[in-house]
Amino acid sequence: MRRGQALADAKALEPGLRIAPFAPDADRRLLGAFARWCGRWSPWTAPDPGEPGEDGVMVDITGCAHLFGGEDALITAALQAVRGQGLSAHGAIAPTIGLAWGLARFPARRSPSGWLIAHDVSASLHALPVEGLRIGDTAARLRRFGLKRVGDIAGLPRANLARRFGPDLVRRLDQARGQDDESLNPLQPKTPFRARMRFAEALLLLDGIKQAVRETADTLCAHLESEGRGLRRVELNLFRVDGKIHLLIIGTAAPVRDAAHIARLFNEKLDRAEIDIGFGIDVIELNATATGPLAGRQSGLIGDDQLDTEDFARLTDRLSVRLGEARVKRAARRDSHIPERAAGWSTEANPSGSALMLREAGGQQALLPPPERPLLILARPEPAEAVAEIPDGPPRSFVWRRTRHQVRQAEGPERLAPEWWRPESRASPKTRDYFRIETIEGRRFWLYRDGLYGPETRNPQWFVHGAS
Amino acid sequence: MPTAPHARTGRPQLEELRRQIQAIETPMTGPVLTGQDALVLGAGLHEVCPASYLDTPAALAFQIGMLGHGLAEQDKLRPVIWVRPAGQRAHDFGRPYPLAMARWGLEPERVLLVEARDASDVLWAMEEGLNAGALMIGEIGASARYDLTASRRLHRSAQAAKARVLVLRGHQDIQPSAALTRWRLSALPSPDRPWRGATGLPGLGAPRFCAVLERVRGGPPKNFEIEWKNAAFHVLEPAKMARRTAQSTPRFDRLAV
Repeated sequence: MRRGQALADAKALEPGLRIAPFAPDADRRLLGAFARWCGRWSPWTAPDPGEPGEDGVMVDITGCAHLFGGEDALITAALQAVRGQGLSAHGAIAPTIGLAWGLARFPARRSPSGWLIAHDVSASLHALPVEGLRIGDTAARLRRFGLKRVGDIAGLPRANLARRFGPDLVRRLDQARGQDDESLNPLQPKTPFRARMRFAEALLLLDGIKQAVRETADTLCAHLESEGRGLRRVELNLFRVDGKIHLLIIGTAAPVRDAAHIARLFNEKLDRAEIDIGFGIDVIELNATATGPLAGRQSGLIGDDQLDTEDFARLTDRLSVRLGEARVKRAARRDSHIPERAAGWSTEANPSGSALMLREAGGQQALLPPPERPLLILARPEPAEAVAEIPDGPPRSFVWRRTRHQVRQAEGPERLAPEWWRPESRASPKTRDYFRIETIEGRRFWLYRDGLYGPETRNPQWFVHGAS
Repeated sequence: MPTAPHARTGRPQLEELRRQIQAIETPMTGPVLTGQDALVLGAGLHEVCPASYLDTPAALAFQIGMLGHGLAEQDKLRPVIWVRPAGQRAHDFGRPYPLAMARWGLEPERVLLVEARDASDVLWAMEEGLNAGALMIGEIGASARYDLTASRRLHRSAQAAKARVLVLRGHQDIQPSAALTRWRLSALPSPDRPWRGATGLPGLGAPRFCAVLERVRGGPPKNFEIEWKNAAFHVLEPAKMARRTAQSTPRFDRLAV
């Protein structure tokens, strides 16, 4: 049985074959976990994904071998532990990464224990097949020239090799020999963004807690700065002496790393939350549950006191922390021509529609000026009794909210057909004729007649939808 | 402060002293009451009251127009926060509509709409916005929380931030306040467009308002008839007002009820 064999052939050979679909992502996750597990032998480990079935883990054991009783004992123990997990494994210890890679996969002579240690670099390297140099397809081309072992190409002029097979071959050869630098990119332990502060004496006053939050936020922000991240959502845990935990959560409109701002947001919360401090708080902890990338930025050289987007985001944060996230809104626009759908207000946490872009990209003017709209628009159009010309004239007078208005000027109709492809407009599938009107007092309203007279309705209803 | 005897005070010294005094005194923050600049508001608190309930939309339009009217170039980038109390259904003419704001000189990208729970939240949000350097539009309505103290706080914050706050009050609200100006707003019939539509009624011209400057600190009350045209307010000359069209009587041909 070999790799690349058809599944039917393999099953013919071995009817009891267990079949599973190829899942490269899961394999990579497993390999990452496995590399972390290998940290028991050295803190410097990295996964080394390869062809299916040829994944590896590299462990830099420099200075670690004596802890396990020498290199022999280390690799024996390591392979035993790996095999104990049900994996098949080969290993090699070599002075260079390239050589260890080749020896683990293409050992010239397999030792009974499944591992070998390269004591002599050039001898071990020259015995390797050319595939052991991590050069991919170049190995097949080398084989066509009859160059099967690394020893065959080791003596050839470097310039010719580089010209014929690319610079990669020479680089890999040098790395395997140890003449070129190569280093492991080790797994970094994932540290959560968390900062906590303990107190010998429990805090009993809110002011003390606020001060402690400020200082903890400083620590957290310093940590975030080293990682180039900013906070999106932060939890504040207040651990009471008697074991109860108070949890406060804030979210921000944009990633922030300003400790003073974070502390101010929590102060708002603390002031309003009416926390029962009880016998005191002895540990506070700030925990960043969501972060976003935030590059360091330089403040302007000239002191411009203009409010930039960052300040705007902060203001949004403060307002939404105190008033509630659903109460602070920004203009949003949707792809629709039904007025109440076309534009509205959306919250930061729950954006509906895209942020409003009135100007065309590149400063180009839109082909048509936007139709004139009233400044105020009613969430729900209100019925009005109107006197109007048949079939599609403007209203001459109308009664709305028990007040009669005489119309002096009118513009219209602006005919908006229903968006039949939307389920919500099936409830009112009538064409609207909008009129901008001004009353004899100069007050402006926006009315529409629901339905075309004749084809859609015999008795059209009028609605007031906006004002001014 | 040692002063020179009057006899020896020369002209240049007097000028110098006047200049110093002028620098110490708070600058004139009310509107300059001449010409087309008459409507440029200074930094501080300004109030707009609709003359009647039905003039509320016109008052809001005036407010938005005034917020950006004659604003210095560097202030045009400031965000605008529009604070309104949620849930005053009876007095409600609806929410601001983003697509119409540009016509009144306000880019909707700059606007943050805050729908506060009650009057105290409205005041808090306005003060907070001012401290962050925003321009504010507040809809106060008839609220007992907006009194002399609250308005003075707002005014101070606005002056410190060199920002304008325009507050919409209820049309029957007569509580005193510390605002720099108070305008009473009513709509005026706009001029007819020169063409008539197929409908027989003339088109809508530039919106006009009657703005009565009821109260101004350091100045007499005054009456303005103004027109919003080309993204700015223009004070109408009396001659123009004289040519105002009479109320045209609607022509009824065919009627449907």
